[in-house]
Amino acid sequence: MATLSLVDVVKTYGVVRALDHLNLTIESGELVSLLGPSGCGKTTALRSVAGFERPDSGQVLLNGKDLTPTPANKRDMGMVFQAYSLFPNMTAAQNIAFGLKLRKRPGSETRKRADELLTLVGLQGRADRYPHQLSGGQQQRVALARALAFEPSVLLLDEPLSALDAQVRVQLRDEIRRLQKEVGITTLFVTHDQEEALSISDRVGVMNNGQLEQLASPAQLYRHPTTEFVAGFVGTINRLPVSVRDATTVAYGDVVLGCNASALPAGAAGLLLMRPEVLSVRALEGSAPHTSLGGTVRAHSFLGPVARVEVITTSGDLLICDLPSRDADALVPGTSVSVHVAATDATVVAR
Amino acid sequence: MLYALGLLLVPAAAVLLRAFRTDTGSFTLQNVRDMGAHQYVVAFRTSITLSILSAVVGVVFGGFLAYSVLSLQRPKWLRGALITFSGLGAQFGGVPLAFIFISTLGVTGVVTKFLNSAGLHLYPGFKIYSFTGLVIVYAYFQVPLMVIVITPAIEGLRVQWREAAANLGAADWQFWRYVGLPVLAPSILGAFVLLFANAFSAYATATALTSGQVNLVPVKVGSFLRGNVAADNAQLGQALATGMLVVVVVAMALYLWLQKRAARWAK
Amino acid sequence: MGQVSGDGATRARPRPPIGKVLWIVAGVLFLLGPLVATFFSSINYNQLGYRFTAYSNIVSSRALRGPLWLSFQIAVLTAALSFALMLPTVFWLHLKVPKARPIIETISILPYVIPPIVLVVGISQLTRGWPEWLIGKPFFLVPIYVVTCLPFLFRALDAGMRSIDVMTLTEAARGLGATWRQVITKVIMPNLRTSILGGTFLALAVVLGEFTIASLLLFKTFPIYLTEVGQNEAQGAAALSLLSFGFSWGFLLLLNSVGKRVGSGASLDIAPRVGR
Repeated sequence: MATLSLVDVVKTYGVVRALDHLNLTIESGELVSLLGPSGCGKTTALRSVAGFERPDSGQVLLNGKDLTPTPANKRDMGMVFQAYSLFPNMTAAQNIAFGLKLRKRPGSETRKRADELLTLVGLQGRADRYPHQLSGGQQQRVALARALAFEPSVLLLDEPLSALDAQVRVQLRDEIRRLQKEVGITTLFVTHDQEEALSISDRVGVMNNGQLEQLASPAQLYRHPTTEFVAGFVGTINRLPVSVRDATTVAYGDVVLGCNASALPAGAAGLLLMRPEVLSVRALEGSAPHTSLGGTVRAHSFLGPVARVEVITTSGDLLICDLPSRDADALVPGTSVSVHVAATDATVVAR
Repeated sequence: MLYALGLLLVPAAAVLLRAFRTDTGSFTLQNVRDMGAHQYVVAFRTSITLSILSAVVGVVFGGFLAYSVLSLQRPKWLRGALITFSGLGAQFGGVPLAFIFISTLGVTGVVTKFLNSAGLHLYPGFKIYSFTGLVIVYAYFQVPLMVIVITPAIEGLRVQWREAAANLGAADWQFWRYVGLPVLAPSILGAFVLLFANAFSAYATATALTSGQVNLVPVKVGSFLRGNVAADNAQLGQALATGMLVVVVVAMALYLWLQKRAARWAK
Repeated sequence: MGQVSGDGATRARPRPPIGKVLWIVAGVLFLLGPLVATFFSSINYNQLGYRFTAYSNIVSSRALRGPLWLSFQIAVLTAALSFALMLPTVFWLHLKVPKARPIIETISILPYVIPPIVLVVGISQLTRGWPEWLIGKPFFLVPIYVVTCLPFLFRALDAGMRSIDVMTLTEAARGLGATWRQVITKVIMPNLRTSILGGTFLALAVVLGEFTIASLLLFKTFPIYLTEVGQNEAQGAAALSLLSFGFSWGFLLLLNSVGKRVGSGASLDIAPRVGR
């Protein structure tokens, strides 16, 4: 079992700072995803761990031991690349066995292990296929088996699903998670797909400009983003400009809304972040209570189980609200409404 | 296409048929038997040796050169310059090429004189119009041709293969031993055969450089054509030409067979 | 050997690529050295010092213009005949019988493999006894050069057609009521301008450099003439060698830039093998 840490890692390319004092620890057996837009540094982080990039400063630690001077071929980490990483001149079985062959394991053991792994990734009977005879999904399964074959201490996944069809992608991502849990291997997964990251990770780190914006469990990250960037990058979010009144309330115009604002001082300018599905909307008779937001329905779209209602507040901001579609039937465009949000469902971040 | 085929195959067939005829047109194997004469056997041996040697020089030198330039990313213009120059250099040949090397490494060549002044005397140990000289001169078009032919294959080596190999624990040489060279093998093989055929069929360069001092098949065929040899046996020239065809065809067949084996993993 | 990628794929600490630099230096010396040396011999008039007399002599030589004009005509005719024969073939290959590709590709590569001297032997054999007015004229070389150029022109046209989606263009034109002839001349050919231009340069490069066939069939084309003029003095021979390459090179460079500009069509991926 292995604990992997990046300590204060800096990597620059010319004037671009790909990693800006990155700190990250992955506990033994844990699957941590790095999520972010392209160019945020997530791939550089993974490649620094693999030994393909040499950080300008900082350390990569494996069980507390500094790996920085260790070349890539001595790091004992299995890696799955985006695509096309299988050796074209070797069959699926030979690809899987390559790591063992280099480690001078006896042939019989190597063959047995290759068969085992082929079965594990559901490709029994395809041992003698060459990479070009396999589909993209199958190729990535072989790549995964190859990365696991020599029992590395860490598994690195560099957007392994990005080149696959949507359907295969979902299937394979669940399988990766199943295998990872079965083997219990410490895993770093890099992706730009939030759904992927949220669905299979123990923890997700959102990266931006070479820095880790937030590292938290998927639910925590989704429900309580700590920065506006994280909120915007993961899922849909409503943002209202507010000013902090005290530790438990903020003011939006003359509306006072309850939320946990203890992170910001009284009087600070903030953004109130709310997911569309936490908002409740009611058609308004009379005037809105001063604890909820008044507004007018601008658009209404039926999406099956839910309806998405767009409300323009009296101050002119847009609120996107997802309601059970049955409850939303009456909310046709033009309807005056009040929108309510529970204090526990709203987060304030600095503006 | 048919036209091309016709223009190509009809003369080839004519060569073939004539090789087995006497002056009066009746069938004979005498010409083939004449080809067994010592000087022609030597000519074929020399030609084939020269072609293999110059192909090896071209493959090795050109291969390393192409690889070195392609893998260095720093001066970006270097790559373009090499490819363009190779496109040009690969078509060097004939009398001009001979002159260029005579000016360089001939008895009074610039490099020869320079080395003389440095106390290094190339002559008479070395002659540009010798077999060794031909290997050097042929290298001048073989190396660029290799660069052109092998560049796409080297570019086709994916960075991911290298990184995957390293990640699985392979040292540099192990990557080349198990992945890099096996993947390149069909292309290198193809390039070798191409270079071989290229050197084997070269006529003008050899004639201009050696004026017949090195006994090569194309030179012999040329002298038959020019009527320098007793004209009573023009068919022997045909037979020699047929021999050349046979060598080229055998080389191609060998290539196709080896290619199939080396690339059984490819599409 | 070093690394495929210069980004230090397998090592933690980059080391300078000495081996690669040595190969490159050796390559540059070997490829450029002889040219530089030849240039020196072409301007070195021992006691008289350095001068460009050899070049000015050649450029002012009236006798060179005839063969140059002749070679130029042969080249243009070769290109014209080649395209007349090959445009329909390649078009038909793309449109109707993509399965014939391996066969056609094999045929198109044959002229590259068969030694030119064998071709000459066959031709001189075949045409023995043909009338002088037919085989005695330099234009007799045109059909032969068409074959010599075939591999390169085929590739140029093939690449060109691949880049323009012949199928869609043709169907669109046919759908609008064009005849087959109109499809080729009005739709396909204008779209293949680059390939055709590139092919013409190629033909020029081949014809201006081709040696074996012309000399053995005893025609005085430009390259043959070049080597005869001024061979009596060393400087002249050196200057001529450089100039004769210069000519072929000029056309090949033109071809290269044409190919690059449009990003399709002709390219130098197989260099024409001439003058050997």
